[in-house]
Amino acid sequence: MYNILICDDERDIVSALKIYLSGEGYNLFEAYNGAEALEILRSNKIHLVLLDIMMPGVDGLAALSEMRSFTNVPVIFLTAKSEDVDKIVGLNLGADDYVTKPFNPIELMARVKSHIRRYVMLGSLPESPDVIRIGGVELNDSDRTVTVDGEPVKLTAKEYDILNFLMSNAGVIYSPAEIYCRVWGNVPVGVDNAIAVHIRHIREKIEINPAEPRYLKVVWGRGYKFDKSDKDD
Amino acid sequence: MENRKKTLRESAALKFLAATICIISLTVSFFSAIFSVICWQNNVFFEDDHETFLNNVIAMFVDDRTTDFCVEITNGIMAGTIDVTESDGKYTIDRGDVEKVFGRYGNADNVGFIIADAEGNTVFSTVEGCDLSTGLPGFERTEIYRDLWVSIPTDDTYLHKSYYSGYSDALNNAVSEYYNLVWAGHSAVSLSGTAEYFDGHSDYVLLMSYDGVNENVMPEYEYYLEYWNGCIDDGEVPIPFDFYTRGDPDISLSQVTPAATAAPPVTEKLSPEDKPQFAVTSVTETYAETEEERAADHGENPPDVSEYTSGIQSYGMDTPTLMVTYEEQKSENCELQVVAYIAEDPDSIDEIFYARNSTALIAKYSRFFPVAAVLGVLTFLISAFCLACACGYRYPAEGPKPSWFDMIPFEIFALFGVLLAGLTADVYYEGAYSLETFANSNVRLFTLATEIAIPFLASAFVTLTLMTLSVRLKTHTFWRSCLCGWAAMILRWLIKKLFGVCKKLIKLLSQLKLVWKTVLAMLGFTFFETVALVFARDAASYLLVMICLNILLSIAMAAWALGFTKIRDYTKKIAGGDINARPDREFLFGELRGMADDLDGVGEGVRRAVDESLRSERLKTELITNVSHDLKTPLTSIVNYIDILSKDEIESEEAKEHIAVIQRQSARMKKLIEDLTEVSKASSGNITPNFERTDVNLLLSQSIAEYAEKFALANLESVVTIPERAITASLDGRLMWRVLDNLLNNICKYSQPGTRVYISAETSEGSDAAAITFKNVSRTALNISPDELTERFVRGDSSRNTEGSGLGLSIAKSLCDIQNVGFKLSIDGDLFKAELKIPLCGDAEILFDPEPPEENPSDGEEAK
Repeated sequence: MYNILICDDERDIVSALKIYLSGEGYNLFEAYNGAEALEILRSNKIHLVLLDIMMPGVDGLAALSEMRSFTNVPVIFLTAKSEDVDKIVGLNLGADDYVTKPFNPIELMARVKSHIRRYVMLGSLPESPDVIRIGGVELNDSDRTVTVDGEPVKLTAKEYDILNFLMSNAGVIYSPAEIYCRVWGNVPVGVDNAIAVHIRHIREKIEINPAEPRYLKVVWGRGYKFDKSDKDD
Repeated sequence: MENRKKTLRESAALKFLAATICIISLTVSFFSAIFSVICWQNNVFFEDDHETFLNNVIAMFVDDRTTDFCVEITNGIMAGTIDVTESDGKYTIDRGDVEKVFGRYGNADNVGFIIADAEGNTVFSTVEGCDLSTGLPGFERTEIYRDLWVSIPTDDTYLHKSYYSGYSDALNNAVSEYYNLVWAGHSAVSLSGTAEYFDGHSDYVLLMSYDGVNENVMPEYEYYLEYWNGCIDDGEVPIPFDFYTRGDPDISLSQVTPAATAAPPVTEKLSPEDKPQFAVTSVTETYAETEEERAADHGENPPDVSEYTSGIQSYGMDTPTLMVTYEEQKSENCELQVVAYIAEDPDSIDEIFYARNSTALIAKYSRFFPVAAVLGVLTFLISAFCLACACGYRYPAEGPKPSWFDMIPFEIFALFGVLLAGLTADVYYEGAYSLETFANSNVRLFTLATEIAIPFLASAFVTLTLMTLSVRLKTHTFWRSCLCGWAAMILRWLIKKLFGVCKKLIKLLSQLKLVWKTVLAMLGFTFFETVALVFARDAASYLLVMICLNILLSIAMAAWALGFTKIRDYTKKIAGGDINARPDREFLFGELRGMADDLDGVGEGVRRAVDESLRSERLKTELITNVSHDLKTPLTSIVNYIDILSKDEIESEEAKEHIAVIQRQSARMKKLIEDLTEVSKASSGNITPNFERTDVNLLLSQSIAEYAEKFALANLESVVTIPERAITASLDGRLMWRVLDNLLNNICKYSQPGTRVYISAETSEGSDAAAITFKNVSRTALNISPDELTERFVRGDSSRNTEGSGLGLSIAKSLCDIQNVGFKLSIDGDLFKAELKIPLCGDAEILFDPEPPEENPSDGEEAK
């Protein structure tokens, strides 16, 4: 049983979230401003915080910077502020995820689940030289399996090879031609589109929201990369 | 007024008394001073001047003897004898020896010359009109008896010979004949000399000038005798007196006997038988060789003058007394002794005695005079001080008041002062206070009157001047009463006026238009140029003036150009977008400064406008952001609860349908809000593109790959043409993706299912732009202009029943604008065509950072 703290000044949203999250079997705490949230966090074992930014009194950003001083519990910002600047500020302050309102409940549930799993599983699995783990994605080369947040993902052989290559070189941008060269082992002839489609398929399998990928990112006009960052939107 | 007591200084009588004392004491001190000087001069007179006087008389005589007696000099002052021997009808001057000079000079009538022949018979004597004032011809009187030596520095020395009626006819004839011959022989045209004075300075004197050719010019009474002058070669300046007394054989009279005359034509003409001969023989003078012999000759005993006075008894000189003995020894064989006598006769009218006697009288009190002078001055100073203090005060009035007298311009006083000073000096130098004046009975009365009147007048004047000056100074009216003061005031007024006029002129000029100023300046320049051209004396000075003018012009032009450059720099900056630039006003004058100020005003206006618009844009964006945020919060609840509702078990199909509608519409609302925010940001410039080198082909294929499934869903077939050649452009890949996203989304939404969509990227060799073209067939008829499509909330179909905000194309266009990408829509029937013109960058031209930037600023890497 995991404890989730919901902090939002909009009671209707808190209620809706309660409906969703209790359906998933989480134990919920409610707070309606930053001060309450901090109080609850200090007195309870919380596994995840859903935090609004715009709140009366202590706002979400102030609350986050305060709670980061004593806990590294995953925090997902849940806010109507969708500006890039806001996202950057929030993530820089130490938030683990940033979901803008109005949110997709299914996506939010997936993210919550992902973060909790990662939080509680962190360091629990023995490291193996064949295992590449980035964020919630774990690639085990010995049996050619991929799991996302512990859930196994079925990939085709080529998809696995591409993912393996990109994860092995996480953070580096590769153009489709380079990926083809490295994965297929020969010179590409008009295969741009094929790689792009493969990548999209992989994304659909490992990402919670393929339109806003967290791991396998499109660098428009340059290629693709597997983001080695742990925290992501 | 009445109760005021009359003070001492207001007493007119006292003032009168003081003034009188002033005048008298000043006069007395003046006379005392004069007499002091005279007393001092008195000694000089006896010790020196008197002797000099006699010496001069003698010298004059001796000089004249060598020239023979002239008409005027025979009216003169000397008496003496010259031995003239006559043998066989010829006269021979054996000896010219002055034995006695009885003296008085000036207009004395008791002085004369006696020329006696060898037997002692008087050849010539005169007592007539002795007047030295005319002097010798060519010589001024004063020069004769005071300071003159005559030298004649020409090769030919002419001596003056005058006809004298007192000579016997034979003598006159002989002399004149001889002189005529000599004169004719030498054809002298002029006689000139240099007068050398004792004090060392000399004057050139033109004595005579004759036309030697024309005989008619020859003067009737004057003849010239030439002395051949051998001294000239030695550079010595011969003077007649010296010639004679030196007794140099070379220059003695004997040299000019006719036989020796170096004028052969003349000599040959002479016939001794026909003409009376005049021979001048050597002068042989024998005198005592030594002082003792001379003393033996004359000894302490005065010469027996009675020998000589017999002839002058009739002149009233009964007992002449030897006064001065003049002796001069020039050489062994030529010695002249001149003895001058002054008859000492108290009853005589000889003014020399008068002079001596009177000065002697003065000399008696000589010690008194300086004391009197000092006392007089002291008295004057004291009384003048009292007077100066008192004057200006008159009884009824209080304080000093200027009278009409004090209003007379002070310059008049100054003028009078100068005149009086000049008069006094003139009178003094004319000898009014000299011994001669005292000695001259004829002028005594007048002189005395003048002597007294002038110092008195001067003293009175000094006193008056002092009085009025003190009043003027006391009442501070000195400058006002001066003509100079008036002139200064008038001048000041004039200068003030002139300044006013100049100021007005400058003001007027400054109000002129620049064109007229320029024209005026150029006219001025041309004027000076013309003046220089007309008046320049030569090419060099013209060139100099022109260079100066041109330098001035160049400086002016350079200053103007500098100012213009500054303004040009400023306008360049403004035009370049630097609206915060300010013009550099240093060294800007006149019109240019005004121009800079005006331009700055324009810049200020631009700055204000830009600020205003920036602020309003920011406000607008903020408003939209806030509104969208405020909309999103309730929307979140709506979306969530609908979602929850939809999961509930609802039996009514109708209700389910309604829930689906709400779900769809809320999703659409969400999209609308997002798009609205995006479009407002894009169009208001709140998005800063992050340019990097982008492979356009790759970008396009990536985008199409994203849409592959959507195309399939929409039953569209895509025909993609991507060139082999790489297309590299400087773009923000993420923004470009959004553009393509919108366009592709549009295509999926509005294309007729079952049609082909043509997507191509193309560029031509050497072209600096690439084009991405999207072509699709619209599902509905597009009765709308392409421009309208990019306007906000406009959609190709008017029904608006499909998902979409109608902002897609607008966002795409705004994002293209930000990246300098051309965005063009065209409609040809049902064919919808979108064209992007992407400017290419060369290999060397990478606009922004070489480091690969994050595609999304919210990337996790930022957090690290």
